[in-house]
Amino acid sequence: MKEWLRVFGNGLSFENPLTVLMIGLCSTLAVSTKFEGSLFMGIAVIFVLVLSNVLISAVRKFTPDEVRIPIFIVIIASFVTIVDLSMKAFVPAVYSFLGVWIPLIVVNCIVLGRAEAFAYTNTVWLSVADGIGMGLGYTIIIAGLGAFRELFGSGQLQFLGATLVKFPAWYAPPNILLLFPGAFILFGLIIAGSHAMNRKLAARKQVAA
Amino acid sequence: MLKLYLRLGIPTLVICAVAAAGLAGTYAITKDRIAAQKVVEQNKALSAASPDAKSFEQIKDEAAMAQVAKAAGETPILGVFRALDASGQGAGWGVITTPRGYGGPMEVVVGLDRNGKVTGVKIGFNKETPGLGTKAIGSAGAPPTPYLLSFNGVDSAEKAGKLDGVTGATKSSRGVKRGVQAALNAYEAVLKGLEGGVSK
Repeated sequence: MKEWLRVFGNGLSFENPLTVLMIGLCSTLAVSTKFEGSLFMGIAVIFVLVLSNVLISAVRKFTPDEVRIPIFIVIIASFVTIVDLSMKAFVPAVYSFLGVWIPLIVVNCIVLGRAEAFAYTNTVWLSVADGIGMGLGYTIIIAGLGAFRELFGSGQLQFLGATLVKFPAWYAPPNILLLFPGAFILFGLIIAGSHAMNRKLAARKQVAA
Repeated sequence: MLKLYLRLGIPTLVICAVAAAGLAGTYAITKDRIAAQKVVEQNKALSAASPDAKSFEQIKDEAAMAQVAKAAGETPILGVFRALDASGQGAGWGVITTPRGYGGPMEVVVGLDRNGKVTGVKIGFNKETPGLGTKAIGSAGAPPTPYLLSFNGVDSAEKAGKLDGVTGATKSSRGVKRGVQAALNAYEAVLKGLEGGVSK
């Protein structure tokens, strides 16, 4: 259980896919203009990541080394297509916002990267921890970035059709937040913050050890 | 050699077969809902472009559609719909076009009345830049922009071409304009000659 928590926590902090491993950035920068869309993107990635990790870890003993990459891709692409069809059927508004980014989860480096680097060499139980940890690490940052960009870039925050916060009319939202340069600037600040946090965590760990 | 093929082939085959079964299952479950969502979405856009119409009926006549595509030139036409009023009489037309904007193809739904005058322009799926392209096309849920409203009442592609675009949204404006022009050209070339919209 201790090992499970360690692996889980790693995804959120020391091996956060976005701020430390720096993979899966395209979708993060492109999608995070709206909180709702970013959140669903995160959920979709968690779903695909956990299930593909579990399945790849479960079949790792029967998977010949030579064909492991095609097998990973088949498994990942199947889960992504399941998410794609389900979102199209049940949350069409979110689907139309995310558009091509859902099918593109197939080639999201986080999913394939974790399959190769973790699930293929670890037990199913630990792969679940890795999937949830990595997925949450991704979701927290993309949803946070989405909330910030939507709130300050458009002056309001909406979720499932309801307006949660709305700034008074005198607030003139700076467009740059919704454009790519804004995403890069904010993301740079997030990386800085996350590294500062990781350094503190590491120092505390050392004291404890 | 055969042994190698089997060693690599069998696991791959088994996994692909399981994956295919899973996908077939998901497809069967979601297929009807996806089709229904698409119709709802389409009707919403068509109603926004033709406010007076109560229902829509797609034109399935292939010969007519081929002519429509020809009249529209480079702008693809996704579908042409007969707008029907409450009594089932033809009230005009709804044309779904997909001209290119700044961010690739965007859906421009054009409503026309019986005489070929634009009753409304509604933008569906698009990837235009928020804050720039959206100055011309508006954003989902927001009321139509002055630019979109400026097409109302226009009855020829030439007149539509003379309308001013929006500064900072040149390509998006041009996209909308092309969509409207394609719809008007289709009306001029084909729809005008079709049965006055009376449901067959």
